[in-house]
Amino acid sequence: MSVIETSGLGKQYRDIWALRDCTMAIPAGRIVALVGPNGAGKTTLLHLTVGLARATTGSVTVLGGAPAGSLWALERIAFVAQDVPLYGYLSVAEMLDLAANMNRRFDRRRSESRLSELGIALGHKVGKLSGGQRAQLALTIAFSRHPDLLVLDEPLSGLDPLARHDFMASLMIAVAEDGLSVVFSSHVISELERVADYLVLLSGGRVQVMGEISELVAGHATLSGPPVDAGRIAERFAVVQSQRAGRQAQLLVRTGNGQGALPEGWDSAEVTLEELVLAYLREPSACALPGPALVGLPSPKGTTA
Amino acid sequence: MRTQSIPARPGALPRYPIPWRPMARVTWLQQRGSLITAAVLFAGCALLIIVSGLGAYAKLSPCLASGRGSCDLNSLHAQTTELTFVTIALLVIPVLAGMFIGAPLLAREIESGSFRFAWTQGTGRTRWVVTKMVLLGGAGAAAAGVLGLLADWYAGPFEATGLASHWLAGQFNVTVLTLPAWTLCSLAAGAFVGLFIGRVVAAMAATAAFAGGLLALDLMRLHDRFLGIAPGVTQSSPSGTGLGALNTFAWPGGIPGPLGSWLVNGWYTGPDGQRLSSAAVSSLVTKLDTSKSPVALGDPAKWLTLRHDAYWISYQAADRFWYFQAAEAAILLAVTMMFAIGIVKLVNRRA
Amino acid sequence: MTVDKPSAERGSADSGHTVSPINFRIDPRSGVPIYLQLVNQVNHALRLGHLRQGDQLPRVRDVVGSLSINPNTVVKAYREIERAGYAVGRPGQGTFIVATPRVTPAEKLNGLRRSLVRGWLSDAIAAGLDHDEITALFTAALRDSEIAIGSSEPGGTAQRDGQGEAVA
Repeated sequence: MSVIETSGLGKQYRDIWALRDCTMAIPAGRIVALVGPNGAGKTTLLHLTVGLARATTGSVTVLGGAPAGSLWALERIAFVAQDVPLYGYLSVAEMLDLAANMNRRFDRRRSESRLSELGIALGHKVGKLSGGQRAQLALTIAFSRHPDLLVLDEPLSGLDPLARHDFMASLMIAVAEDGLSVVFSSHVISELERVADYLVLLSGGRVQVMGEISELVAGHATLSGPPVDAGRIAERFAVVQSQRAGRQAQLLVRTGNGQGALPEGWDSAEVTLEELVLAYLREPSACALPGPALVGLPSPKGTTA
Repeated sequence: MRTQSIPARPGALPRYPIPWRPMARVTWLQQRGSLITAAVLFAGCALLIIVSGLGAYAKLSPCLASGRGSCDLNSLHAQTTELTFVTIALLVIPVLAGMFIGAPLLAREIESGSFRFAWTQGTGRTRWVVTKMVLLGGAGAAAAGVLGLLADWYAGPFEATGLASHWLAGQFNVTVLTLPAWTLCSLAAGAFVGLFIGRVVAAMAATAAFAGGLLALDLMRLHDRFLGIAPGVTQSSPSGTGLGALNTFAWPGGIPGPLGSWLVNGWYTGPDGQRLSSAAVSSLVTKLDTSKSPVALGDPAKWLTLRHDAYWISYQAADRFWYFQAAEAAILLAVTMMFAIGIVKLVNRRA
Repeated sequence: MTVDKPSAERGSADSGHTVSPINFRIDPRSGVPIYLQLVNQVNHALRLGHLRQGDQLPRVRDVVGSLSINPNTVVKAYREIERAGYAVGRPGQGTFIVATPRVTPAEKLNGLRRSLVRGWLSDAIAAGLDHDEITALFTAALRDSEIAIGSSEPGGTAQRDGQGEAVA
C-alpha cells in the first residue's frame, strides 16, 4: 500500500520545471524524510500531494489510489505548510473550534489535553504565540484530525533548537499513539536517522535517491585504499563519489547486498546517512532507486542512471 | 515495520453533504469583526431612516390630507434635503459592503497564506468558498432588503406630494429589490477581485473603484437610457415639464401624462404628423406662451389641435415600475452570478 | 552509556500509569544503532538490579517524547528484549520484565579473566601492540560482536530455571 504514488509527475511554473519525471511509490507506515537543497522541488511535490497544486504532466495519487486533493483524500491527509499558516487573530480555542468545524473527524479533547501538556493556554491569541508554539499548535490540530497521512513542509525551519526538539518529540508521540504515516521535508540532514525510516532525495526537480534508510546505509560503504586500485573497485561497485588525497583514495560505493573481499590495503567503513546524502547531492548523475517492486524478489542493485 | 491498515478507497464516491452549520460557525469566527461593524452600521442606518421618516410623515401629512396645492413646497426644503442625504447614504452601502466584506474575504487568505490551511482541511476549497459566499451574500441581501423596505416607506409622502419620485435614479436604486441586488453584486465583485489580486488593500481599492464606478455610471448615464426602453406613446398637453417623473400633485394645471409615470421624452408634430424642427417648436412655444386666448391658457392641447399640431410624450406607465425594478435586479444578479462562477473557477484553478 | 534512576518512587503512579524505573539516553554519534543502545541499557539495568521482575519498561510514547526518536526503533529494541526472554509485551498495558539474568558467578569471571590474559592478551603483547592499540583493537572487536549479535540470533536466549530466573 502506498501513501503517495506518482507517475511521470511534473509541475511547470511559467517556464521553469519545478518537478520533472517523478515516478515513485512511498510505502505506508513509515516516517519519510523528503530531503534536498532549496529549490529542489520538495514544496512543489508536497503541494501536489495535498491538492494545493495541479500537475502539469503525469499523475499523483494518495492512500492507495485516491486522486490527490479529492474530498476523500482531504479528509484523511493533514498538512502543515511552510511558515505554519494559522489565523493569528483567533485565540487558540477558536482555532481549534475552526478546525473542528472544517473537519468531520476532529478530536477536540485530544487537542486540548496535548496543548495543556505543552503549556499553551487556550485563551492566547494565535498571533501572539512563539514560533515553536505555533508549530506545536499546527501539529496538534493536524494529528487531532486522526489522519492516515501527515504531511509537513519544512516544519523545523525557523525554530530554535529546543523548539525543534520539542516539535519532533510531539511528532514522534503522535506516530507512536496513532501509527500514522508521516512525510516531512527538510533541507537539514543531520539527525534525520533517528526519526526517519525512509528517505526520498530530490535534486533539481528529480528523485535521486529513494529507499528504506537502514537498507540505504547498509547498502553503501566508504572504501579507502591506494589509488592504483581505484579503477578495479569502480568496476565492481557503482561509485557514487570518489575523492583522492595523496596516497589514499576514498570511494563511496553502493555495495548492494554485500561487498565480498576487498583488494589488498583496502578498508571498508560504514557510511552515515548524512555522508550518503551529501555524496549524492554532489553527484547529480548518480542515483539509487528501488527497482520495480516484485513481490518476493530482492531489489536489483544496478543503477538506473 | 509498523503495520497500518489503510481502508480501501470506496469504488463509488460517498456523498458529502454541504456543511452549512459548521461553515456558518467558521464564517462567523473569521468575519466576526466586520460583521459586527456591519450590524452596527445597519442599525444606525435603520434608525436614521425611521427617525427621518417619522419626521417627514409628520411634516407632510397635513398637506396631503388637505388636498392638492396646499403644500408650501419651499417650507419643506429641510425634508427634501434629508431625503437626499438618506438616499446617498443608502447608495454608499453596497460600495462599503464590497470594500470591507467582499474584498478582504479571499484576499486576506491569499495574502497571509492561510489558504494553505483552509484548502487542505476536510471541507475542501469549493464547499468552503461557496458556503461563505452564500452565507455572507444572504445576510447582506437580507439586511439591504430591510433597509430598502424602510426607504420605500420613508419616501411615501414625498411621492404622494410630488417632491420626489421612485423613478429618479437615486431612489430607484435603493428599493427593496435594487439595494440588495447592488449589495450582492458589489460583494461578489469584491470577493472576485480579492481572489484575483490576492492583496487586501489593493483589492479594497479596486472594488471601491468598480462598485462606485458602476453605480455612478448607472446614476448618471445608464439609468435614463434604461428607462427609455419601449415606452408608451400618447398625445398630451405641453406642461413645460422636462424629462422626469410625472405626477399629479405638483401640476395644478392638469395631467401632462398618466399618473405616476415617468416622462421619457416629449415632442411636437405638425399637421403632416412629422416632428417639428426646433425652430418651429420654439416659435410655437413662444406663440403659446404669449397667447392670451382662454383656450391657450386653459387647455393647451386643444389650442394645438386647433392649429393641427400636437404634442406627444413617450413615457413609462406607473405600473411598469416594478418590472423595471425586477429587470435591473435581474441584470445585477446576473453580474453577481458571473462573479460567483468566476470565483469558484478561480479557486479551483489556483494551484 | 549510563542509566539514570529517576528520583521518583519505584512504581509510583503518575497520571494513571506506573513510572518505569529507568530512563533512556542515547548517543547518536557512537556508531551503535540506537535500538541496540536501548537494548544494552536495559541489559545493563537488569544486571545492576535497577530493573527487577515486574517492572515496566518505559512506554514507547514516553521514550519517543523525551528522546525524539522513531517509535519503530523503540519497538524494535523491546522486541529484542522480548526475544531474549527478559520481557513480555502486554497489549494496551506496556512491556514488563518477567525474567532477570543471573549474576555471573565469581569463578566464571576469574576463569574468563585468566583465559584472556594467557590467551589473546599474551598474543597481542607478543605481536608488539601497546596499551592503546590493544584497547582500540579490543573495543572495535567488541563492537563488531555486539552488532553481529544484534543482527543475527539474539545472544543468550533465556531459559528459565525453577525459580523463574533466566539462565544467561
